[in-house]
Amino acid sequence: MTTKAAIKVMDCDVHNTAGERLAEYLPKRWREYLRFVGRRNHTSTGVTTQQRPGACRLDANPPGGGLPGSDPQFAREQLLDQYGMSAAMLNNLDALAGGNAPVAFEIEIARAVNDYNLEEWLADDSRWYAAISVVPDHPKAAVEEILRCHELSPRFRQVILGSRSERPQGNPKYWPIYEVASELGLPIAYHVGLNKYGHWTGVGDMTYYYEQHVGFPTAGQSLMSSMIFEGVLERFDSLKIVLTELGWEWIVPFAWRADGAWSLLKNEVPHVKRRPSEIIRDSFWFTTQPYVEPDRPRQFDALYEQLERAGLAEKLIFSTDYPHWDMDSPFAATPSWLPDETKRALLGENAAALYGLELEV
Amino acid sequence: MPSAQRALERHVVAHRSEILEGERLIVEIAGRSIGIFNVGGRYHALLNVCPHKGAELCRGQVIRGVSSSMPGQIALEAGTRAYIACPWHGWMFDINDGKSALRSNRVRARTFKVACEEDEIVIYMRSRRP
Repeated sequence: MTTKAAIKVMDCDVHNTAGERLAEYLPKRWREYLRFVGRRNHTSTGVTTQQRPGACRLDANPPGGGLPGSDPQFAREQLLDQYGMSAAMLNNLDALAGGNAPVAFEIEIARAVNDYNLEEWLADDSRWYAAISVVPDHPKAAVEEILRCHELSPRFRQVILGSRSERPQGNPKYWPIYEVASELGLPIAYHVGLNKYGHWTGVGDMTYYYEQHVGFPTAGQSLMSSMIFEGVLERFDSLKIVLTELGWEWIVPFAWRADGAWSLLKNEVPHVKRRPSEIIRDSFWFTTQPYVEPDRPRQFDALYEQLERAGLAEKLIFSTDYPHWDMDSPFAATPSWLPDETKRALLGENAAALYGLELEV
Repeated sequence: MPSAQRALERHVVAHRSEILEGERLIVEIAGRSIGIFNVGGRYHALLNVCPHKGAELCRGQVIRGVSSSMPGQIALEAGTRAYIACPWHGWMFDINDGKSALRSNRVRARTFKVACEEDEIVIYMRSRRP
């Protein structure tokens, strides 16, 4: 029934982790700090449910021990080989910056994550690609780290930032990061949550895990809005933004709403030279997971058609979110009735075009 | 060919000593991954694919039914009523007939006939369409 062999899959959101071994990649001063003091991350969104420790599926614990996502060989078998994937993007989330830890410590942690990814994952299988971790609220150090990783490997294929930061993401303080990313041709992936600064909602943090779990689009809207209205995509017109695990079913109505006020309010923002919908179409991509599950499965078609009519269908890129419990598997979660051509685009070709890759089976 | 004409095949999967009470075994039979469970001495067999998003259903938790006659009194349900809960999103299916615990007719886990015949655990399944 599946056409695995014919359709190339790229997974655009995988969460590997160094676990406690991250310490091995830190300089002594911070290795000891980690041992005696710890990470200093302790906000509400660090909490996940007991039923799914670390928000992971129960069957992703490597046989040799360690956290889900900490064993490259097991991940290779359980993800890449299991689904016949051609490529996968490692969005390691270990560098969660709390905003309440020493600056140098956070910067070293981000660097350690990149070194770990390079040495233990990118070296292990050529199908892995990795996002570059940086601390966005220290843009100078972030730029240096992006340049360093870019030199180290062409498989550092994007920069990962979080939907939480000190200021809305379009703020000029972050522009040096956008500048270097667009010069190097590296997309910026905004992942939901990540980091502990600021608040998830406009008015504080959510109370319940369930609430948080359905709150991904909230984060996505405010960040997309900020990027548009601050003029980031005019200043850096080749910059590509990947909204990762932020939903996509809301994009078109948001674009309508934003365009609706264009003729009325554009004079306030002369630095924004194009309609919001055009900016979205030119510069934004969206990962699929978690797929929205309509009351009647076929209602998915209306959402997809809406994207198509807005010229956004080729912006949809498949992701699993392995090893989290709410992961989507490529062939079981993607609506089976979609034509092969659509599946091919969604599951691999759109991502290949974005990242400039040739996917091999 | 029509299902009535597809042969019911008998597959010996294990010796009874390999799946004791509370245990399970996941095997591949004719290209399908199948989980066999021993719950309270009875055997159940399920296709190791969750109808929700294709996870390996049989790697999930087996959850026994409970009943309560009054506050403070909780008992495991008599008999072998049990559920398998998917290791991904936690969807639960009756381990005996595959029916969803919550979603009534909309989804169902696939079950197979399983029996213990002279100390051998045996699965009956129809051959796949050619």
